[in-house]
Amino acid sequence: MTNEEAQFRLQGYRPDGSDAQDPAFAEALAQAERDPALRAWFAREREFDGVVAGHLATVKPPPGLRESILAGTRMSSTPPPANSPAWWRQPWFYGLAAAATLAVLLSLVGIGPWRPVSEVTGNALFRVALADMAGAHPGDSKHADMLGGFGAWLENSANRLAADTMPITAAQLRSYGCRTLDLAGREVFEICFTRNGAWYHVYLAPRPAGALPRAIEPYGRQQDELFAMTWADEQFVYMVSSTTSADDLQALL
Amino acid sequence: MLPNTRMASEVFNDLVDAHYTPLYRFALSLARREADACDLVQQTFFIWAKNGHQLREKSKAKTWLFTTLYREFLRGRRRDQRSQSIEDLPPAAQEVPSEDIDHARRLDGVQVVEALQEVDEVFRAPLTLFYLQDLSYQEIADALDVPIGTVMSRLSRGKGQLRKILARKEAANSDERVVEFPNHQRERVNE
Repeated sequence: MTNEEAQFRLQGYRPDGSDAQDPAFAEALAQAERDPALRAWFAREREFDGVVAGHLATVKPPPGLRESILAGTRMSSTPPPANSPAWWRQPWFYGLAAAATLAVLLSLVGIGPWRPVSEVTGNALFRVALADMAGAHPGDSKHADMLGGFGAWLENSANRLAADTMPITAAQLRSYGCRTLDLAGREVFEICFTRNGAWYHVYLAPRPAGALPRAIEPYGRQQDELFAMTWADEQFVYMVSSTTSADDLQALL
Repeated sequence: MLPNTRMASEVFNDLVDAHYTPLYRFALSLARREADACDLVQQTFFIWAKNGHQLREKSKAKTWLFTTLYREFLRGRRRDQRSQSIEDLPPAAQEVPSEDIDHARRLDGVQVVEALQEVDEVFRAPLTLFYLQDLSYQEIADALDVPIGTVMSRLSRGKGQLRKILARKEAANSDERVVEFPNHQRERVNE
């Protein structure tokens, strides 16, 4: 077996070692043990494959899919009563079951048209924050001390922006007259606040119904002097930014 | 509920629990849209409920499910004309530069699925099944109804395409000149 033939076989060798006992790989594996160049190639190949497989394994089905499968197929697999016509074998019944299953799924995920929903992204918010830092921020933007209870909540160091639920709704933000941006038809509210003498901006983009994933854990970004943390719950995509430091920002969450 | 019905129901639940997640990942790489992927998985289990009892070797249920899902996918769309000539493309590069591993490492699951979705369809199916690691190359050949040698060839070419796509995606990320904080997740909201 040439090295090329061995490579051809070994690139089908699963990175988790599931094929270790498969005799079809034995000769190629033995050759990789003997040949340093082939061994090095195989190590890199497995590492690459392992990284890709690991990433793929993090992809989760949407909530409700399992329940939908079980509910739908339970309907279609119910045995008929004795002597009854095999109505449940008819194609129309499967159509009915599929429709019912879809209804179950839609109710589980709580959305209308079952399609990916576009919304304001963390990237878009970050670009807004960059523009604000560069001078786009207006001087008459609402400061937290003009927002009553919610403003006080923002400036209270005991409150965690991401770990706690922000006590605010989009309707309330509109009623406060907060600075509102239009990002491709989606509104974004921006509020300035201070904690421990440092200035921060928080951006809140209301999420459309059915947006997935329902929650996003906080993650950070930095460009030039700007630091930002983004996260989401079912109500908003949030971003808080400042020019202090990443540690200061993370301490708010 | 009759005892045998209850038993069948438990068996079916176990089957769903064991396979619906990898089936969804496979479907997502093929169909590219979450809703279509869900439909494919759903349809696959419907067909199992209808015909699965005919399977004599229960140990082959997993391969049967992947096969059925793939056939449903093919049935649901017209064949891409490009897939006729893709087999004539030159072989993929044999070497795996260490940068390719770094490119893949710096991306996340969503981006890797997006990269897989860009791989030509004829390579995408065996490549995704390979990375799911649920099926051996022999089982992949059975599921896709192609010879083993074809599976290996498609894996080789598919990996070559995937590396280029991952490198391009990683370069695009770098162009944004945005530095991530350590130990935090990447963007996940739809662009």
